[in-house]
Amino acid sequence: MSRTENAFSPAPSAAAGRLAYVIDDDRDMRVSLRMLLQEDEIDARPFLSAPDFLDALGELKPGPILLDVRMPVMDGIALLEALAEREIRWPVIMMTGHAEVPLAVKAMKLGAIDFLEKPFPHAELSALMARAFEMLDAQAEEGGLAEARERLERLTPRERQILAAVAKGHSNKEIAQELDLSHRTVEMHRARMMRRLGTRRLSDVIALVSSAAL
Amino acid sequence: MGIRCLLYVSESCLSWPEDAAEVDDLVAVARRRNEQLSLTGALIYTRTHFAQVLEGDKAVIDTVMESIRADPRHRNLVVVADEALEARYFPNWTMAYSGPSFYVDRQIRPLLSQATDPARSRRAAAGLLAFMREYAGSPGGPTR
Repeated sequence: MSRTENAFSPAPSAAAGRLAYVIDDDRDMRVSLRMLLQEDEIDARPFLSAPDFLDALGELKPGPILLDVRMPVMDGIALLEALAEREIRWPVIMMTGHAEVPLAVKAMKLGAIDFLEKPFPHAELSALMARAFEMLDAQAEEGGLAEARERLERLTPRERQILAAVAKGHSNKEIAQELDLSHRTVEMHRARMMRRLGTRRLSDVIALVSSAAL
Repeated sequence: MGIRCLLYVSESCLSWPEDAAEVDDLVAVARRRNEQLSLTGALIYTRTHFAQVLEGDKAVIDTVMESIRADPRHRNLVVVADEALEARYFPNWTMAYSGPSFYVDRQIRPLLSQATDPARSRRAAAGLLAFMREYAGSPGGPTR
């Protein structure tokens, strides 16, 4: 459902509800990260364990993940593997006291974008968060594009012809003349096309065509 | 026959965002040249620093280092390890890491300041070498 929003509405502004997930079994760490992130106007949603996070995953919107390496039951590396299996590509930043080389290499090969070694300077956390949100924006744009393409593929060739004309700003009457169809037939195709695209607004159709880079 | 292994670090003179294309060019040229010269190893680029490990014939490495030192795409080159090996660790020459990671950059940065005491800088160099071997080569031990 967030995909649909990407395709049809402008991306939410950066200030509106930036959210990051903090997964750490250490309460003090969760509290201090929440305060640090708040200073950068990022809300933190804390999780006490990796399984807790996985349980909630289905309802979460994409966001950066701050992930502790050492945790009981399921550690940070195991969660990275679980995310990779589910093809979740949200930016993950690992946190640890000291990152041993093999561990760091493994995490980065599993897709973690960086390692914060505790105690870390606030500036480094801020810079990493900025990088993470940039990555998410790029991913959302990519996703929106794919979604728009997918929707356009549902159209029949005739509907696509009409879509192209509509996007150029032609009226039903003009389209009827161009395609040698009756006004009534154009209206019918157009209504079906809009239904297939899942929208009623002309502006959405034009946004869709331009976002699919036709 | 023995192999020589040399590790250096340097500061990048490239600037974002053109750096990505310049590094791609550099890697393409280096890969061809190193293959011809039977040099193996790896390169790391962190947007602020470079680190490269080269394995091969002693004289060949001397020649290649001369041209690397003269390359305007970096400055303040410091050789942090130069040792003899029984066998190579890297099966070929690769770009091990190219990206903005602070963690990777932290493996390089301490080695650029000459002020750190020798024991510490030896440890840092060993750490960086281990990282590069783990990332690109065979961490378990030398290859045949």
